Amino acid sequence: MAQIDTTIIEEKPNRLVAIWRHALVQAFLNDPITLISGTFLVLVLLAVIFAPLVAPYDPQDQQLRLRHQPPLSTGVATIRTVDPPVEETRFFIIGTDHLGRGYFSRLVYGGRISLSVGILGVLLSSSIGVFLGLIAGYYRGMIDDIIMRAVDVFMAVPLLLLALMVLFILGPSFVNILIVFAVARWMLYCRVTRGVVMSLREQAFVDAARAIGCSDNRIITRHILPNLITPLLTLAALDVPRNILTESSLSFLGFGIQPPDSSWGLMLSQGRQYIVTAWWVVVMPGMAIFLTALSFNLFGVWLRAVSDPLQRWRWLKATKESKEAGVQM
Amino acid sequence: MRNYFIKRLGHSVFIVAGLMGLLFFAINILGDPVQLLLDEEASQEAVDALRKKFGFDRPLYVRFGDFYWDLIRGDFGKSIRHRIDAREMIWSRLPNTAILAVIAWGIGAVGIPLGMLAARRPRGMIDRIVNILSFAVISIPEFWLALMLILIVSVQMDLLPTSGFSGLGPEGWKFMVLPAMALSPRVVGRNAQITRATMIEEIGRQYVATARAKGLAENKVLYAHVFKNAAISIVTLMGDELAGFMNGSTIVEVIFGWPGIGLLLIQGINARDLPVVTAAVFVIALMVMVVNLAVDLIYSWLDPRISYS
Repeated sequence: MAQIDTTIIEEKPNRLVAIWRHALVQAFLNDPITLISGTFLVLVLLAVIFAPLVAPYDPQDQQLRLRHQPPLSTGVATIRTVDPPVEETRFFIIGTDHLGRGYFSRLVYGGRISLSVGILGVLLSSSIGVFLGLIAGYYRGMIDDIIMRAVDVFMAVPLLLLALMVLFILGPSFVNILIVFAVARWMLYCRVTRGVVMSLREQAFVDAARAIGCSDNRIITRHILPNLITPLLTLAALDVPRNILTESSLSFLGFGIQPPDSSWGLMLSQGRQYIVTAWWVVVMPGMAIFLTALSFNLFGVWLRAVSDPLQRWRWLKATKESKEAGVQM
Repeated sequence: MRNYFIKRLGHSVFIVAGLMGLLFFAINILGDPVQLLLDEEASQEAVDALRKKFGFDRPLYVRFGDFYWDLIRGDFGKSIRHRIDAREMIWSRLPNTAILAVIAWGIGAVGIPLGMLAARRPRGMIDRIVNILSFAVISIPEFWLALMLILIVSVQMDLLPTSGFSGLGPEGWKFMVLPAMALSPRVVGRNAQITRATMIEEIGRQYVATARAKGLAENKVLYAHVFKNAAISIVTLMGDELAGFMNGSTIVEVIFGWPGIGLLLIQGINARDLPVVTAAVFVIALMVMVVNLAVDLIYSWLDPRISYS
């Protein structure tokens, strides 16, 4: 017994390298479409979070002399907040609007509201939906019946109709739009959660947890909830663009964000009457909505594909073929 | 079959009744109907007078009963703004919305062959192109597409009128082209995605392996076996698409001044015209119910197992 086996332990790569070599990250990097849409999303999110640093000028600063400057133009702005007024040469990468406000700055600040409505709306509706779905799927019985009947009613109503009803009664505002999404989208999450919970609660590990005396609360939070993260995350990623599109429609109709705040949809609605003389005031916010929604959609689909075991195999296989070495499962 | 139909009908009636109950709850409990009708600076006397005139001073349960009784009789009262029967207004506009829906939905059927092509070889070249295009078209806001069409087709090229309506007759087609073009791309994209996903799912099943093993030509496998089974889900999801049609058509009707139910609803909301809003919501809910019921029937016809369960 004196002999000691010596095995060579492979040097553990450093954490960052390990993350870099992770199959998911590699799959992400090797799919050009996902890579482009993911990068675009990160850029948009950064621009929106650090809006004061990114936006060159104050989005509310009106320069009536510089109204409807075309993209890539320069103009001299007068700053009247200081005494005596100072003149400043400004460069407008995508032009100015009908009040001479820098359109790029407005786009960045408008994106702040559009994206936060999209993301907060998902957070709110998913928390309500997950909560009700957990109750319905775990306790079943009458409470399940009541919740699912409510889901049926809400599912049958067109989203915009429900949104208009809510905003008709409550009046238009940022918070009320969030309420719209809470009211109009919760049932998606409720359905998914209930389905997953119902299949999970019959599994052996839940029985085992119950047998060793776990409370319902503990089983739900420690054993069932973690299994819900992936399906909910993909649902959420695909729901954010939908919310952004809905918010822009509502703001366009005048039932959403109100001036002086701005969102991409509101910018479109304000620019609408100048469509003939200044195309960029309509084209640019629309492009912003379109590209952001598209990136979210493409990224969400990729997320769904890699979280589905059957499809993941296909994606990872493709990754492996294209890059033989350095991939670990 | 008959029992199944009656069950589904009862279900639909329940859903419409539930939705209208929600509307009643929202108007009468969350808000105040008189406040919705009047401006904010209306005097107390005006508020009281209006409350009495429309019977909003009666107890809640009486109004609740009345509300449903009116719905059953189809009597929504006169439009406050136009002094016309609200029901008449809705009925006269229903065909305009319906024709737009049918045209856009018809063009949308192009998505089905596209999805079938894509499903032949998942992650192949065609699949990638169809996939990206379909996501691109569902990411475009309809109202922006509508504005772009006006800018390019009407303003720059001067081919079609920017907006308006001149009946559903043959001379009205000019006004119909742009709204239909704004609405249909999303339907095409959705249909392509739905078809692709359900076809790929079906192809993974055992009977496809059997069909291939016995030497059936690949085309026959795909179109005779796979598509037939996939059609069941495709029909359901296309029905959902048609039922959710008002989402897009409302805003497109507003932009093109197309006198449909969506435009009427928006005008009703802006004018705080409660009878018109109630009537519009009710008719839209009924339309959705009819579509869902039709889908259920087609579904049980395509898949006889459904009606027995």
